[in-house]
Amino acid sequence: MSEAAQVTPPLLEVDNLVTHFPIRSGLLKRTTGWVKAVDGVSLSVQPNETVGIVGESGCGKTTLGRTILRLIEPTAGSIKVRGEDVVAASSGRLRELRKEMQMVFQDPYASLNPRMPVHDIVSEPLRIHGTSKNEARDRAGEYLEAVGLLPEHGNRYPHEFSGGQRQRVGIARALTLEPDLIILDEPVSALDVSIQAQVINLLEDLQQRFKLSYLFIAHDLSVVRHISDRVVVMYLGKVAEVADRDELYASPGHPYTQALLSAVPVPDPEIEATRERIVLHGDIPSPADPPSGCCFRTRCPIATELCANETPALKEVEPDHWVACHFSSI
Amino acid sequence: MGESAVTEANSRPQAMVEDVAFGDKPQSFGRQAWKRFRSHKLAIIGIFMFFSMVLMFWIGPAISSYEFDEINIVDRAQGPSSEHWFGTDDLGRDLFVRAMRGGQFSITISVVTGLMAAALGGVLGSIAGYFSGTVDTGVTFLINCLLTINSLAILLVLGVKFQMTPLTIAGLIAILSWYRGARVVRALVMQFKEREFVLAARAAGASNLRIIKGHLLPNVAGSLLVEATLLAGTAIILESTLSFLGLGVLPPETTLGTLINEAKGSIDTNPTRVLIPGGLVTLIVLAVNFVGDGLRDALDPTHELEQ
Repeated sequence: MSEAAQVTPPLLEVDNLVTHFPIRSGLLKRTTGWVKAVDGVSLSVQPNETVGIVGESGCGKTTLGRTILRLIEPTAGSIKVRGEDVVAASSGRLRELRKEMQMVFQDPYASLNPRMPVHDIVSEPLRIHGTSKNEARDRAGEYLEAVGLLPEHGNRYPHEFSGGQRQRVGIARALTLEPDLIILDEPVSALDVSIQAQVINLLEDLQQRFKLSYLFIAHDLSVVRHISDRVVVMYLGKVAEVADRDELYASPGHPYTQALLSAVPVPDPEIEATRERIVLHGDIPSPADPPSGCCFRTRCPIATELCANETPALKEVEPDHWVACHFSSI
Repeated sequence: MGESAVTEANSRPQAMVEDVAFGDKPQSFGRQAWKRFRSHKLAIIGIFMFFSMVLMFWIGPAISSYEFDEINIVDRAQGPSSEHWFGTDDLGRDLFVRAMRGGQFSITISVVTGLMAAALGGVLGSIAGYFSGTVDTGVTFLINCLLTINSLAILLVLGVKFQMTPLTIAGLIAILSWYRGARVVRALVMQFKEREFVLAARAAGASNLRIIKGHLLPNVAGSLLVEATLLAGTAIILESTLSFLGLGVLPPETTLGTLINEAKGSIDTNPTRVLIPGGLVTLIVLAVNFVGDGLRDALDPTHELEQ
């Protein structure tokens, strides 16, 4: 992610993506407002790179991930995979483009069909794209092995597996089409901490083995720090800060990022007791009625008049370090 | 989660720390379903009852020496005897043979109606639930129309106008009652289509047809099946009502409802004439419902065996 990034085209390029959901009310179900779930997000993912997306619940992370796959239709903006427009793609072309990007979902209990044996779950993407039944079955067995399960487990139903094993099945399903990009939507947040580590390690192994890029959506900063090359911080549907992992954790530029990082416990009791924490007050505002100007100003410790009047643009404060704040401290 | 924890708990394919104990060797879905069905005692009783009645209704007339439409005025209005096991009606027709004949039609009507209404309701309900918008508005409108009209009234009007055969009765009842299955399926499909496994299928490129057939219908099949058995029961009762009101099949053809209707005058003198066909209706409905319960559990792979 330095000189090399300038020459190779990004695998995924999202530009000013907007996803608004209509609020309908009244007898005639007229649209009375919009929930601005994703409100002008731009980001890019390079080949073999892991980009982490962090933010509180309700900041639009999941919607962003699903919109990139067009599981939710975007309201505006562009999504390009290797330069090809996903938003304008016909349904036939979209099917081909989706082979390049797959998704692993958050809830391993809801993401597997309870009425389907695991073999069928894992081989279904291949069957959809015309692979014969026997070959799809063999390949499913291989991918089950790749994620640390046994091919014989394919005859079982999802409810016979533990949470971590189910998540492995979900990962195997995402791998079968040999995508270049996998969108991981909080893949470990529903799991025990010990199992989180196993799944994270598995993801790292698979990334090397299959040359994958990840868009890793999470709210756990330690996990994101471990796995990401670059981190995008989101707040209320907008990007607050983008930087290389080490840069972001060493010198966060946005007051929101600073507050998030100060909430991570330090594994040293003396530092933990004396360090100063930035505590945010109040709740995240409603995305149906975001504050004027900077959307973070209602909870920001350094907000002024200017923040209410003017929306801060995402500025490059250092090379490859972008912050959307009028008073960025670096 | 610290850096060290990540490296220590390194997961290689063979390191299955969170492995759970699996049971015996894998079995096909059909085998497992049969095993679950067998463990359901009421379902076994139901299926036994159902097939005993089918056997009795279809073989019974053959072992009797009378025909269902054989009039024998001399022996009219008798009680049960060794000659006429269930007695005779006002025209001296043998009631055992007539009850068997009626049972044949009642079972046919209930099974055909249950299957037709479930198929119609399943297809329309899943389409409405899956493609919200205009299609859903259309199907919901139809459902609401059927909810507001009285099936019996429609059947009565049609019964006066046209000659009813058992199959037309079954078809009409199915057309008037599919909405019950459709409502259940529509609601469940609307709920399931937002699940992540449906999103995953769509992300893999699955067509709408594939999602409905492969992911949604298997998940609503159990509830639809229960609804179908309830419909089968309703159909028998509706047909009996229709026949009781004198608008069922044309004489000398008979159904269980017709037999009850014909016997209503002799309920004080010869109550068995009402009780026998009435009891048979009850047994058929009961058997169908038991089997439906068992099938629902059998088709659900998450259902634990009672052992």
